[in-house]
Amino acid sequence: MSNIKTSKGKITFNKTEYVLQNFTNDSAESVSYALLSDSQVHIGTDKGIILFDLSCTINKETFTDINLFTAALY
Amino acid sequence: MANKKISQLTAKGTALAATDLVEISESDGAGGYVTKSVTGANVKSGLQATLVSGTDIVTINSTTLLTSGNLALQAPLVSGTDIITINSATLLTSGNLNLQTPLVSATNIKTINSNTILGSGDLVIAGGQKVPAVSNTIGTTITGLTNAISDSFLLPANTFSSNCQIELQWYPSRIVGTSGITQGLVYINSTNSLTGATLVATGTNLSNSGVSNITCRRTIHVRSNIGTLMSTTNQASSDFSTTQPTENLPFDNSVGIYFLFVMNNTTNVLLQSRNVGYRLVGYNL
Repeated sequence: MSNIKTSKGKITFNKTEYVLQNFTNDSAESVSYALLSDSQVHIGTDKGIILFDLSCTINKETFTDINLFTAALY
Repeated sequence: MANKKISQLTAKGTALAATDLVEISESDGAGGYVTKSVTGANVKSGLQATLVSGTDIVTINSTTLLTSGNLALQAPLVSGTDIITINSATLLTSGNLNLQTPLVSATNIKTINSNTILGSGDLVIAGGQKVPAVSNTIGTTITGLTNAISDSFLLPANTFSSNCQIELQWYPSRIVGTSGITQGLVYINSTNSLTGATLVATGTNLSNSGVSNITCRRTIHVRSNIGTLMSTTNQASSDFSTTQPTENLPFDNSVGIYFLFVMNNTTNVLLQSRNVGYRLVGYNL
């Protein structure tokens, strides 16, 4: 299980650091994330849009709700 | 001559003349003999004529056989033992053996960018188009409200240099569903998994009911292993979805990169979709 480490507007995943930032969704809106399903979310970063899912832990914590999972990233 | 042994007779001393007479005992066919004479001509007519080299007897390589001593000849050739075979075929046979004529660069074999391909070693092609991935296979069908991998391929490490231009074409297909929207997305990742994958392309919405296919294309400009997605705003063709330019994508060509073709079905649990082929071409810069 892969872990996401959070730190003040940044996340680290697989030894790569991403700065969280907005992106433009399909409706031309600037958003920080976009839920794809009950288990997947698109997260805007400085290195593009990254897909995360509930198979990941955040700071070693496991989630079963994608909304709580997303909130824990910010 | 009576009571004289033949060894006691006077020797003739010369060759037998045609008119000389020789006494013989001729068989009567019944076990008895009758004394008769034959002439020297009779005797000579029954002898083989003197052999003349090249006339009555062959020569070998213009050398006469009418001589003394030993004539050394090559031992008979045994295929595979005394004489090589070619592709396991014997040379000891009749007919013509067709062999490829020696290759001459640019004459009977092409060159690549004016470089010969004859010789050992690696031919580094700095420029020119590469097509490292082509598939017309049908991807896995994705059913229901989900965002899942339909197809994928691995772009092997060092296929391209750190500075390159990549053009990806893929073909999302909506195959079942009277309502709802599906999209063909493309992600890249270091593993064949969506978790942590980076979105590099979003195909236009497939909202027509029933079967519909589209062609999608994404150009990725890579500088020092960092990818930039081109702006497709105001593209005239419906084949191109409108997206904002994106920069700073990790695109490290020194390691393998998986391209993941994902179908994202939304708003209709009955939707089915799949990717039905892709093509990646690129140029080193």
